[in-house]
Amino acid sequence: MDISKFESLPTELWLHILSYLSSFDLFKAFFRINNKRIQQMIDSQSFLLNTKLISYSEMNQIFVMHSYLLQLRTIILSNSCSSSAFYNYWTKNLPPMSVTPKVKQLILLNASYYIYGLVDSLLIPLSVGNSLEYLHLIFQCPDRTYMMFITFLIQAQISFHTMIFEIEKDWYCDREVVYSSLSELKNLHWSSTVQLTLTIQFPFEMIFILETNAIPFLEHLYITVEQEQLRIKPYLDAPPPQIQFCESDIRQMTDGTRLQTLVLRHLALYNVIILIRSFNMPLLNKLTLVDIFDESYTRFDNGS
Amino acid sequence: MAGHKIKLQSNDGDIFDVEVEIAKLSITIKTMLEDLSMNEEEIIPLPNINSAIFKKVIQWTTHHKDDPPLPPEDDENREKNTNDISSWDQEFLKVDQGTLFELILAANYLDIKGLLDVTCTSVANMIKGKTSEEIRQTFNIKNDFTPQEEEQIKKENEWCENK
Repeated sequence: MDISKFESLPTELWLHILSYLSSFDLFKAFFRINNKRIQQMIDSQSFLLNTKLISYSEMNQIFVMHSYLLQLRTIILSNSCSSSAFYNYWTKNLPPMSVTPKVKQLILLNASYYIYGLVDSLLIPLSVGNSLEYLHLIFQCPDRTYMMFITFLIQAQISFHTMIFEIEKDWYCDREVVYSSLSELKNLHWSSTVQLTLTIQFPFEMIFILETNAIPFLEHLYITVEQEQLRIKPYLDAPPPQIQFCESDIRQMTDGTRLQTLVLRHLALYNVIILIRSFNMPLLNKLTLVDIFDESYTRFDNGS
Repeated sequence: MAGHKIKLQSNDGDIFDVEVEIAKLSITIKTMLEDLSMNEEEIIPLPNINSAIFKKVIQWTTHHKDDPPLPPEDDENREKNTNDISSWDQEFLKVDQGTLFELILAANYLDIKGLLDVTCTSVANMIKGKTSEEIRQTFNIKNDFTPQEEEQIKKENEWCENK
């Protein structure tokens, strides 16, 4: 082969080849290559560590490759052995920000697995340096651990630019479960959040989210309501809420002046009408309604 | 039209009769024929490809002419699979490195995504699991750092590795 053939490939083709490599393989292969052009290309890469795809032995190699950890922009954790090992390393040895100073995105595929200690050991330290911008937590269902996690975050007042709390499987009131409540929402103050995806229990909880100064920079909101059709008394294990999803409370308490995107899932039609009539959203350019239902038909079907 | 042929000329002057449907797997040739209204009787020059490489390209496109269209690229966070090279492609890609890189360049010039993907995947598999020193030997990559720059990098890495 012509010695210069490999190096003479145009950058776009180099990048195409590199796109087939994990950041670990990429780093291992080119870390000490000492070639300026290749070095520039490697430095331009956004390093992603998907711990789910890393073997335990590779993870042990990563722990001694501090230069690699310094380059990481995105980390994906799951409930694999490698993920647990990485999480322990990340949170136990040094402050997380000194191990991964450039990390901007954190994705947890099985967030319930990390529920205890995640906020204190990881998210609070990561929030200090303002590096982390994107937090995506995936829960299997909106169960007790999901509610607990939201509560921990509210109590710690930890927030990031984009926060996505994704639920893989909606319950949508097909069973009567008394949840641990989201009453802590009334103390919500997430000062850094611009985009939020959240599942709540009852429509009135939306008022806490939209309340003036609760999330002062919120521009994009994606809300799913779980308990719209379930007629259980809210907050069985906490003081009853003092607000209602009504026009007067929405007018008096909420501020939607920055909101540009609003996506609502599983809301009764009359609640949609209440919201549109009373909620001021002068900058809104996208309103998406999903699984909206007319509750009068439900009542008719139930014979009530 | 099945069986209808066009003439394509490599940069060393050889002329190849290729079925239109096979030639059109190249977006570059398809565009020449359709958008630029090139006459199918005309000889279409391919100034960036020699005969040996073009024969390989025709071999690949002939074998893959009935493949379904490739799905669009999706999530950027998804890692691409490098294990799904078919046994025919694996056999096809048993070539020296020079030919492999010529094929990548040809696939890129002719805009044949399937061929580009499989050749790049093959190179990625050659890189996977290797250390920098092994990569340097495999691909003859030269060290163009000055001794001072090497020393600087070494110091920076020592700082990291000693943390």
